[in-house]
Amino acid sequence: MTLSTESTRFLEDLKVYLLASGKNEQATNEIVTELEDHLIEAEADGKSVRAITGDSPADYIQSISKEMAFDPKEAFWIVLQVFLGASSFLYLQNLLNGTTTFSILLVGGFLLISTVYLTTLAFLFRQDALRDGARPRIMRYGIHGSIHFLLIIGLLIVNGLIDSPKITLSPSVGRMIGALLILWILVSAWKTKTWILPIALLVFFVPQLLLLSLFDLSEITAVLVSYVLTSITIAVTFIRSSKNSQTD
Amino acid sequence: MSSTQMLKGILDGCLLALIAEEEIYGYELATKLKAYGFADISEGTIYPLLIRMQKLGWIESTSRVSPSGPKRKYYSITTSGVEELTAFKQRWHHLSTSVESILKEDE
Repeated sequence: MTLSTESTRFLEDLKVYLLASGKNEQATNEIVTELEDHLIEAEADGKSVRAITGDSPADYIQSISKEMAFDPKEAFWIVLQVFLGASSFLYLQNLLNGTTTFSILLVGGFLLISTVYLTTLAFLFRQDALRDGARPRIMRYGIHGSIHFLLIIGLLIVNGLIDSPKITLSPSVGRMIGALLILWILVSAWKTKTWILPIALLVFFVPQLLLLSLFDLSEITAVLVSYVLTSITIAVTFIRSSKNSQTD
Repeated sequence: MSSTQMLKGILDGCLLALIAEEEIYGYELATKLKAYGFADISEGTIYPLLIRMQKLGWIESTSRVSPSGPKRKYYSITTSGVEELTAFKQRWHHLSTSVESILKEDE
């Protein structure tokens, strides 16, 4: 028995809202499954999603959220995962360029930008989920991501202009941390069955290495080409997965 | 004040009473409430209450495979739920007697 598009979208919105509010993933899945079961029977009896949520699905989603506790452990793992995922590009790029020295300004600035990125992203997800079945505003996520990419570029420029205390890792320690980072990414991808980050990293680094070794391009051109390829890959994957979830 | 607002405060007790009768799942519970005359309440209202009652330890749940596909959550009452139900019945008896006597005086 398949659910109507309206009910499916309501369940997706509920799940996104609860996860973006830092609720426990297992408890979130439990309530979503319970409401899915309810909606299947309700639709078979000729009722719509409004019979369950009342006039405002947004108010209903918030009433469920209010009863569920914030799970700091869950939120910590999500933050750590996203932070390590984002920092892997910067760290591995430095390692590729033979740099294992990182300034306090760069590390601190990166932490701050990542925190702002995550907080605002969770806010966007929550806002979208309460928009009563409307399609996600993909353009806003694109602009949001681009602003933070520009902030990182700005940080790199400022870091080059201002001198701040530095942490220097020996090349072997640097490589070991790089290897651990890759291992962490692969284990997380395998556990969550989401391979977008390892694929994005491959698309980011493999063309760079090829361009640098085969065509003798400058490092910055190679990075730019790789950035464009990675953005296209992420955009295509995102659009394909949202199309799949609509046809399911 | 709408009847929905009046009912909200006593819905916990009604749900507990229905769960005390037999092990029951969400849709069945919503259907039974409707059959008893709670037609104004949207069916989903029960779920935030069930989450809260489970947190308070009044009810517990087990998941089993359902004919419709996803796993179905069945609720049953706990010992502290039975105690709460007894207390609710006393509160309700006291309240309904008081309201009844005021309304009779008006007639």
